[in-house]
Amino acid sequence: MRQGPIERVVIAGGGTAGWMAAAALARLCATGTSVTLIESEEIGTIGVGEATIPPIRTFSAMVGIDETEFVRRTQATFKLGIEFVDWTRLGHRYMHPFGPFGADMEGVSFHQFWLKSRAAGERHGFEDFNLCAVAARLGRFQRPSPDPKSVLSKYKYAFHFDASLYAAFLRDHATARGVVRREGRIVDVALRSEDGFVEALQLESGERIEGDLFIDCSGSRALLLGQALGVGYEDWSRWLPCDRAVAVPAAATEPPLPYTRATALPAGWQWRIPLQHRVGTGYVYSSAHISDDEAAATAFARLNGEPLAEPRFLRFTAGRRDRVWERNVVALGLASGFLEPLESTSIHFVQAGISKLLALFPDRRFDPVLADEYNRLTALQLEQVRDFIILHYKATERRDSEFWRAAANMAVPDSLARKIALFRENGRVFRHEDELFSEASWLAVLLGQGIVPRRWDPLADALPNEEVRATLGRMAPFIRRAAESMPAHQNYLAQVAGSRPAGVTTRWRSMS
Amino acid sequence: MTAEVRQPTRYVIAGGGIAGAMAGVAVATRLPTGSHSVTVLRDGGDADASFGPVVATRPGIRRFHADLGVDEDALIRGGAASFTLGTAYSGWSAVRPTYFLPYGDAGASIEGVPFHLLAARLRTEGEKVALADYSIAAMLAQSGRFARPSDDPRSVLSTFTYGLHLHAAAYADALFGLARRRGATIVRDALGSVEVANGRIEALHLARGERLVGDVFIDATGARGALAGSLRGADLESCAGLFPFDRTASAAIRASAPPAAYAHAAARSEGWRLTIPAAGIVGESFAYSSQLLSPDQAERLLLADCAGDLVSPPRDEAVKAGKRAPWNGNCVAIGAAAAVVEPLHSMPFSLLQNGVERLLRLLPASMEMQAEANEYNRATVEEIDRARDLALLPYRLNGRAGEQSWDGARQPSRNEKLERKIDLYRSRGRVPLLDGDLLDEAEWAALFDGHGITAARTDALAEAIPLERLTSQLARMRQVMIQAISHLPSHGDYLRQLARGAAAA
Repeated sequence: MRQGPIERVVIAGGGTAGWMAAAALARLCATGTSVTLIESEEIGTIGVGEATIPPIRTFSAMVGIDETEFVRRTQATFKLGIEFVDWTRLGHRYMHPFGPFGADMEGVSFHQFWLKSRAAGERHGFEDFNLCAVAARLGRFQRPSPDPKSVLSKYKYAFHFDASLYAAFLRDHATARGVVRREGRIVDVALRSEDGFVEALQLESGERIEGDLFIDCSGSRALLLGQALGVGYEDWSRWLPCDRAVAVPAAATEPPLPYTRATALPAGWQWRIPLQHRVGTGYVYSSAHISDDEAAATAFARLNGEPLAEPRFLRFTAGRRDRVWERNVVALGLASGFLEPLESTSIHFVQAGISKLLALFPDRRFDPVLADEYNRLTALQLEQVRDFIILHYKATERRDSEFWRAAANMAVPDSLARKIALFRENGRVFRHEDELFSEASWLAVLLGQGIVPRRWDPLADALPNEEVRATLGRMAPFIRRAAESMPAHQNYLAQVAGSRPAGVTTRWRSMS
Repeated sequence: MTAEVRQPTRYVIAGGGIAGAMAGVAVATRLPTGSHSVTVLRDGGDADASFGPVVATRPGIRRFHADLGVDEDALIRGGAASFTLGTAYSGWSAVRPTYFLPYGDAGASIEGVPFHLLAARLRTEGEKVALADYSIAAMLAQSGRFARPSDDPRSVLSTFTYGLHLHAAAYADALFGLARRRGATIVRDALGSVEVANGRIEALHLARGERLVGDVFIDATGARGALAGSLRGADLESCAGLFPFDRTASAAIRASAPPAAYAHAAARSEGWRLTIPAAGIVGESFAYSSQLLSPDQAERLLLADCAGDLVSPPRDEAVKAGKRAPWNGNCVAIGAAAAVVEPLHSMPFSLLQNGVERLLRLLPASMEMQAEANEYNRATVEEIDRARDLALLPYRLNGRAGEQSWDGARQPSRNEKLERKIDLYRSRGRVPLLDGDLLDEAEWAALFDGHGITAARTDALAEAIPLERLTSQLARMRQVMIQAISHLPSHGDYLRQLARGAAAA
């Protein structure tokens, strides 16, 4: 059996996943571990707009990225949530914001009082109680206040950025910290005869790159994990039939919005991701329901601004690799599986994979316990997010196309069916096993997609109707005023993009 | 939303011990009194038998009290509760004669690497690092000091927390009084029979003839499960064969000195002994195997080490570890009525408290209540199973070689989830957490560490931190901690100040 620490890490593939891994693993260079990334020169560097969720900031902190520099270098904008247009029914829109709804009272979730007030004839919009949502609609943004007593401290934020620029930014960061970049195309994966572990990668130039641990960031073809090690793929297209996307960047025609927009279309949905210098758009669709030409035509027809490049087509199958860590190969990004970016989770899966790998970092014995735990956690997280995404399709009143009729009629996974049933009964939502999306996120989408609970929590009856009415009547304008006190997103952004990096404050708990 | 659906409004709780009292306070505090009724049957049964006369709780009790407006100072002044900073363990491991599981943090993470992994790395470099040396709670316990934690997150004194040692009878009294003041009706009688129709409980018939009708029944009668057991499909599923000790002898001893602010669990060849000091009283219990000792022998062993007068005659009973689906029809079993688990790590109390809190989150909105029951059962059973994993751990990892009961308990179990925790800790010092786990990762790690288990390999990120930086950070941490606790009063003085109403919250 082989002994000793991992001395050589080889990352196969650049791009966002590869460079994120490289930037994080650069920390190991301090112990004498070599980290090598192999990528072949990119042809055409059109940046696809990428949308993220708040934990991206944890990744930045872990890697040691200065947020201001990051915003400048990646043409980033701030993000308070996602707006879903036409999902519930045509003409309907709702926001999935990165913050809580209202304030809990008497230990009971706020939304229970909102449900009760509706039954009593009140007509407040649920979103009126969410600072993030209100600020987003007003086009306002500022970073949350550090004062925990301030209402402006109770939300989170994420970013939109240019994925190519992000990869380039991380590349500079990683290579400055000791990661070695090798140019070249991988033509063969050499396996060790005795145990089938990957031994080396053969480049087109004839060069051979050996390693102890290989990270497969080669995209959906999964050069190492899929092709060389033969790990299979679990197909989820029975729930998520979208299998293509066409991306078109466009010129901006208005100041950047502080949120992502996802608009439901007859055979899928369209993303709209505002960057500083342009808007990333694209149509995610089901090839069984619409042709590529038609999809591209729809994508173009829906542009507000000038298209800035030729359309780019992508193909995928929703699902995951049966094992994302097999022998000495760990796959990240598309090589590990695919879920459509409806909830902006693509980058997060990469980040979560990296954190888990660091926490379970092997030595050359590759104790199978580590891979088993890594695979368990990865499968769990992917399935939880899968359920959340399926919910957007299942809970719809749309019947205007074959695509939507099929979505409304599909049988969903048991785990999701249970969640919907409990919510429908009395508006309760519980988060499981460290689930990525919070109670507030589930609420936003469950209620946004039109699922109205039959009843509310009996504990909400502890407050009389008049008191609930009065409290809600005060809360909504209070939140509105707080949102209005925030600067316009483009002004705040201009200030950040044109300012010097700020200092960092330390606390006892994060002593570093 | 339909107004015509009939809501359950009549809550009937059966059980005269702390479980009935906690459920009574919880439900009476939260439910609107105008429209709902809460009745508690306070019988003289042995609902608290599985807890013993003194109960150790984890820090979660602070949340329970804060959420429900239970005045902790009043409990302490009234002699119903005292503070605890953790548990000392002795005799469990061959490598570590004693170890302490403190409440709150041990050390601080550096660059996102948990402290226990930093400690493990330093040990591979030959440094002697004890986790408890970097825990405020352990340091306070060791030096006999106490004060409540600071609210200021910048202070090192915000990094610990505490639980309570409860004098079970006094605590139940206090909570029954509170439940009454909040509108509950307390009925003192004994349970006669349970009236069941169509898989649901209609009413309780009391010994003196009264009939208590209800919509929702909460079974807090202890291990006998007097209500739950009357329904079909709620049979107790035993897991007693998994544990080496099947009986417990217990006693309460009068004490005059201020109580120590920690519990002590001592393993010995015949079983293990748990000592829980509280105000004016010390709870002693002794778990043993009926195959090796008679109840008389066990009682003699229990009393041999007790200094002080007995408050009441010693008790001796069988411990039948097991569980049942807690919510069946309109009956919710809480505490020992739902599951009997080992009293180590305050598990029975944590399960009871979590069960009551979960019920508050899932109070039924209609008479059908199936969606609520499904969710309640799923989460509760998961938690009970995780508690059982935790209960097995000290046996599975024991270092008492050459002793019959202990040797047999060391065999790898068929419990996959527990074995995975052990394997992963042995491999890398990490602990996979699951839904329902009662301890956090740092506590699990401290437990493994206490049993002398070391990981085969140190953490990769911990290794990336320069050694000098680690040692100097740890030295600074320790110095800041020693400095911070040196000003704090002794536990006895703190209690006296509190009794005078002078202690700061």
